[in-house]
Parts: sequence; structure tokens; C-alpha cells
Amino acid sequence: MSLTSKETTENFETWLNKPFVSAELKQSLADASILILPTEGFRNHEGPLFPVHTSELYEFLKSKMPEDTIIDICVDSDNFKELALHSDYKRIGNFIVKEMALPLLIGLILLYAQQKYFKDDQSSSTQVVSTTNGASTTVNNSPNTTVVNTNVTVVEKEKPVEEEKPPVKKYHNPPKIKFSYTVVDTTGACKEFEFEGTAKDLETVVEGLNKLNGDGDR
Amino acid sequence: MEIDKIKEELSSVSTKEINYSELAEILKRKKAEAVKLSDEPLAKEIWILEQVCKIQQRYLEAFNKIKQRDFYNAWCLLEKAEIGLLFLKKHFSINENPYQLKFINDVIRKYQSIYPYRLFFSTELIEKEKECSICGKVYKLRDSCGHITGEIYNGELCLWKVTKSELVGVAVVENPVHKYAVAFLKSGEGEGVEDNYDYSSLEYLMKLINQPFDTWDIDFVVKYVSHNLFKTYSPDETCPCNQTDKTYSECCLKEKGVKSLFHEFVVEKPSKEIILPNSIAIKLSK
Ligand SMILES: [Zn+2]
Ligand SMILES: [Zn+2]
Repeated sequence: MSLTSKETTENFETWLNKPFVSAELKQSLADASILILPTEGFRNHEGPLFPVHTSELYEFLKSKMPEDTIIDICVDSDNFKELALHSDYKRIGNFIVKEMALPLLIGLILLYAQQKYFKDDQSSSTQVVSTTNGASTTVNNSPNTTVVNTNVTVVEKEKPVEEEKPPVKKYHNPPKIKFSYTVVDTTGACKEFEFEGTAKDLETVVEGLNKLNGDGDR
Repeated sequence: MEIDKIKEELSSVSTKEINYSELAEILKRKKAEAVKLSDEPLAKEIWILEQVCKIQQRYLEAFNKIKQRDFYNAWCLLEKAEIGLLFLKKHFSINENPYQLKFINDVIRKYQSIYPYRLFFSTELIEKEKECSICGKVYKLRDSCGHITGEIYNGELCLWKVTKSELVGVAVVENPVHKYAVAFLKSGEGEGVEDNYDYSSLEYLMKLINQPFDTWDIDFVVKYVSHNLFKTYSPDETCPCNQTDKTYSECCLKEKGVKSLFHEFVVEKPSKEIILPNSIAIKLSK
């Protein structure tokens, strides 16, 4: 897993002034706490693109957000296009988010990814992601699935002595997800984070964020 | 035939032959009735049974194709069954059910892991327009029809149909979106492709098992093969273990032998005992 961060000068303003955001849209995005951001300039394609399934993610996030947290997509409706790439990674997307809404966003991304990509994962847990404004959302994984094949437990076999960890096919690796987010704190300072890892890894991040939140309250 | 009878029928998949086209007809009729009566839960239950039919049928067909050594088509059917399971799992727990779905789910993975395929084509696509399979409405940001992909409406699965797209590239990958896009070598000038893959592990397994629901398992074991067998390799060549880009001297030459991957099959009711070269047969202690 990796979670890297770097300083950035990009803020909400930067994105709202992009050519693919009309004056009308700019106004309605002004109050947003979270924006889903496009990437620009893929190969020869000019203009903004979003990773495949962004519309699904957007509808999902919108339906789970508390009323006072506005999420939107940083593009005019007519300009919305999705890019489907090969899937070594499941690309969730890029976001810019106000610090206050960050735990909520990460918690919901975890829930989304678990439902969509990690159904088969052995990990199962329930987590409560709390936000600074007191609202909370429950991240609940599907019922535990056991991967152990009970059909063959009766069989005993001798393992050869010379043995190493068996390699697996790449297409059987647990799916990894990838996303980035720029956090804007109350002073206007911005920091960009990039996450790459499995569901378990993301759970760790969520736990960390919760801890940070808890410390902040004290 | 009543729904309960159909369930019973589907439960007996491992012991008797099922007439799937007959079942499909009945289910289709029953679903139409349920939709007419606006009975959403019943329509959904029927969708689940339809899905079970498809998964069982595809798996059985795949098994037969493997038996007939039609390996690539079997591979595609296994993927179809896998996708069917993926959609079904959202609405139906496959863990404690009588339709052998857990078995099928696990065995697909096992078959896939002994297939020799490693490289696949994967398209890079810009999706410009898509429509909802339930209502036909073109997706518009901030003005969605409200149907959610993967959900069941009136006994039908909601999916996006991409109606306008632009192909921007093709990548060769080890972890593809679609497993059917296996990389084959082109043969000569013509249209045809050659299947040069080595299916000996699958062939070996097929000699051991007879029925689609026979229990078997697989392990992957790394063994060291004597350097004497690789005398033609120079130390500066790519290592003959085929698992790295390193040279022979940087990789396996440091070890007691060349790393080789062995498939180890565990079978409950082995039909014959044939030992192919490069295979280890494990006897079961009963
Ligand atoms: Zn619709
Ligand atoms: Zn080696």
C-alpha cells in the first residue's frame, strides 16, 4: 500500500476556473465541500475525462451525503465522459475536499469500493466513520465469506519438503484501488494525497483518520 | 411447474441432468406474470433462479469443453459463469445454498489458475454516451433516471449500455478487464490464430476427474530442478525459471536448482492413475 502526500497550489478556485466549467456551473459549485475532478490531456484527447464508473460513484456519494455536505462533479453535464482503462488498478478518481468533509469522503469511498470490488475479500468489518460535525456513517461490509474449501478437508496429503510461497496468477490478485484527493484546510492551505492499495489498506487509513478526529475533539 | 419445484430441480444439479431450456421458458412466463401483478419481490426471486440456471449451464458446458479439449471456449464460458456469479452475489448469498454455486465459484478460480494464459489484451475506451438498460434513458450528469446499476427492477438487471465510444488504445496486460481477450499468436498471413499454449496440466487433471461436481483441489509448489538439465543456458541469459527478468547467474544459479512451478492435484475419486512427466501425483491417505 502507499499513501503519499505533496504540497500543491491547486485549490477549489483553480478548478472552478477551468474552461470546462461554465459560469453558471461555477456558481452552483461554489458551496461544494467535495468535487470530483477530471484528468486532462489523456493521449491525444483534449478535454476532461473521468475514470469509468464515475457516474455510479457520484450517484452513490450523493445519496449517502448528509444534507449539509455538497458533492458535485467539476464539469458541465454535456462535457462528461468516462475513460475505461485496463484494470491493474481500479481507479476511483480524483477529488478536492474541504478538511471537514474528508473523513466522510474516505469512509464512503471505502464502502463503495468494498461493495463494488471487494465482495470476495475475506476481510469483514464494521466501522463507524465519524465526522467533525458529529454526523456519522456506518461502513458495513457484506457477511463474512469463507474461502476455505470445506469439501477437501477430509483429504490429508504430504507436502513436499522443498516448498515456497506459491505464486498466483495476476488476475487473481486481490483488487487494488487508486485515488487521489487534495485537502483544503480552514486556512486555505492545500495538500494532495494519493492512495494505492487494497480494501484492508484503506481500512487502516480510515482508522487513522478516525483517530486523528478523536484527538482533535479532546 | 411451481417455483418450489424449480428450486428442487436446480438443487439436484450434481446428480441429474436438468432441462434448462424448459426451465427458462417456465421462468420467463412466471416472471411476466409477476411483473403484470407488480410483484417486485417475486420477479426478483425469479431473476435469481434464471441467473442460477445460466451459471450452472455455463459451468457444465465449460466442463464438457475442457473434457473435449476445447480449452479456449471453455475458458470463455468459465468467465461468463464468473460474471453471472458476480451479479448474483449482490442479491443472493452463495455460501449456504443448495445450487452448488459455492462449488462452481471456487472451482472456476481453480481452473483459471491452471490455465496457461498469462497475457491479455485490454482496450482503452472513452465512453461518450451510455443508456440505462431498464428505461433506455441516456445518462445525463445531474439528471439521472435514478436506476442503479446492478440492482433488479421488474426482474431485470440494471446495466449501462455504452452507445457511443471511442477506442483510444489497446494494452497488453496480465490482469485484464475481460479474461476472454487472451493473447494468441497469429498464424501466417491469414485470419487464423494458433493456440500454442501448453494445456498439459489441464489434460492431466481431466484424466483424474470424471464428473463436473467431483471434488478436487490444487496447490502450487515450487521445486528446484537440477542445474544439469539447463546446461545449454549461459549464466548471462535470462533465467530459465521464466519468473524474472534477471539473468541465470543473478537468479537461480545461486540456488540449488532452477525454480519450477508444479501443480499438485488433490482428487477425491481419481479415475485412473496416470503420471505424466513433470507431474507429481499425490496419493490420498484414506
Ligand atoms: Zn433508468
Ligand atoms: Zn530463476
